[in-house]
Amino acid sequence: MTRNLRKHLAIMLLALPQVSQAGIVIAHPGVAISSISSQGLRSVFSMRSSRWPDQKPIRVFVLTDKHPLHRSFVKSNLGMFPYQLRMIWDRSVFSGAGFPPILVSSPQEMLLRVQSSEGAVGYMDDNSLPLLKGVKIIEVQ
Amino acid sequence: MKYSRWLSLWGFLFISCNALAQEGLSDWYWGGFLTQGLSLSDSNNFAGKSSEKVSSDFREFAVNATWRATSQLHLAGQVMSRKFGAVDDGELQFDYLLADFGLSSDVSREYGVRIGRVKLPYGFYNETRDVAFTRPSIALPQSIYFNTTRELQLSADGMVLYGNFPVADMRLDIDVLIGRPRGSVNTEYAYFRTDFSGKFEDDLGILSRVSLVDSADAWLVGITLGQFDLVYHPGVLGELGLEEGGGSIDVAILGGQYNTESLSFTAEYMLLRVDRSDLGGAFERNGKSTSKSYYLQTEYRFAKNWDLMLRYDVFFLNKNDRNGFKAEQRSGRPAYAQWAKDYSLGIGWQASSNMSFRAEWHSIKGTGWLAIQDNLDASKLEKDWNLYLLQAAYRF
Repeated sequence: MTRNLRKHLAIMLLALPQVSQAGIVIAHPGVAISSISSQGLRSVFSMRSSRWPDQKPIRVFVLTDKHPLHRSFVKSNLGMFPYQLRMIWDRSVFSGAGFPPILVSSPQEMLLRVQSSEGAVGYMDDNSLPLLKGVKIIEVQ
Repeated sequence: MKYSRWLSLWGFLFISCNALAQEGLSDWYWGGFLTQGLSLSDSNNFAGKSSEKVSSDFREFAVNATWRATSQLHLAGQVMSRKFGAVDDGELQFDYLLADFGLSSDVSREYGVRIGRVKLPYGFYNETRDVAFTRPSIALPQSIYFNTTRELQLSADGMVLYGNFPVADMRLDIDVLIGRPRGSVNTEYAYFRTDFSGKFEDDLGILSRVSLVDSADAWLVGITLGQFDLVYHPGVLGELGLEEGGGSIDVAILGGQYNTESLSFTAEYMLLRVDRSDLGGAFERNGKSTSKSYYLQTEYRFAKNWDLMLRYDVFFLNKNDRNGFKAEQRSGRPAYAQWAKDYSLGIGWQASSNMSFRAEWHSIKGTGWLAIQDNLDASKLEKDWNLYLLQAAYRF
């Protein structure tokens, strides 16, 4: 990569901080794990896994496909693209194989629902870390 | 009568699961969709009398519900109506109605069993082939996802063992189905290319699909292998001198897909062997044949909410008679009825999270996969033809 291209790339990344930012995985305080593998995380958000290790149901909360936080979480934390997740969910739901995630309309609602729903898991952006009360932060390994 | 058995099973499961359901742990979900298509062709009929006028005989409607009774058990069902020319009459049918028992206890692997009317794990698109927003195009590659014999590919009454297992940095997805597929008059079109006075009865079949998937679903390779047996009971007219006997269908599909943010490449290759020799009569000598199908497909998400689809889809009804000359000599049917080559170009627009629109142009040579039900007068079939499709889909 030429120096010039690198400079342009750095400027672009600075101009779009939310694109490169990783999110934080949050869960209901009663969820019995404190860390998860990146494969496990993909499995949870792809709705392939439906139970925590203590057999309690996993309830996945997501923002809309086009929300900037959803897009950056899917890309940075899951290493996938929102269209792939949408396809995996739809194929599973419309063949009777699984369950869709629960849609929330804002990060504020995400936080409230994850705080109050047993087995809940969701995500927030890095900047909100100091505000995250009443949820468990799940470390991704 | 055929629904009452299913409804009582569903009711029994519902009541017994309600007793099992723990307070605060059960969830409901319901949804559905409505799709309306339009088709027009310069000759040959697809989804109704498309060569005479714009046909709107292409409609898909479904409502589904899923109930998560406990963390290990969910019940799911979908009722669907599909109108598709003379192939599907729009009658309400249970597309699936099943109980799913999850058996694993680790978040990175999941395995279990589904029992009831289950969707067939067959290639990439089969399980949700009638759900517009899971299709890359209005018409799926017809060489593999036939319209003529769709009942055999739709769902089966039986069970599926499923599992997803991490393997190094990848994942192995496995589905094994044992069940009785839903055969119908359309099965006869698959076997005989016409509707006889006799009847087919489904027998048990087995179908397995194994896919190796990159852990982020960037690429996957999959293989489907299956065998279905059918029993034929000759009717009063005793067409072709056929006797009572068994038939079998063996299928093998190899597929691969690669996904980036803006591009997806997909290819599948299928061999399907039909054995009718046990029926005797006219099939005594030429009862076995193997068809060959493949397609190459690119999807390009060129702008937010927009995509383009380009595909080349090829079908040979008999891989040992690819140009169809032997069949023409034997039966008098035109050689081009034995194969098809379809170049298609499509565009899609996701207007909102609920609404999507697609348009498609197919330039086709050959009539090998055309539904005979919509093209009863074989003398009107043309070798070179164009098909134009439009589709609006709404989900709720």
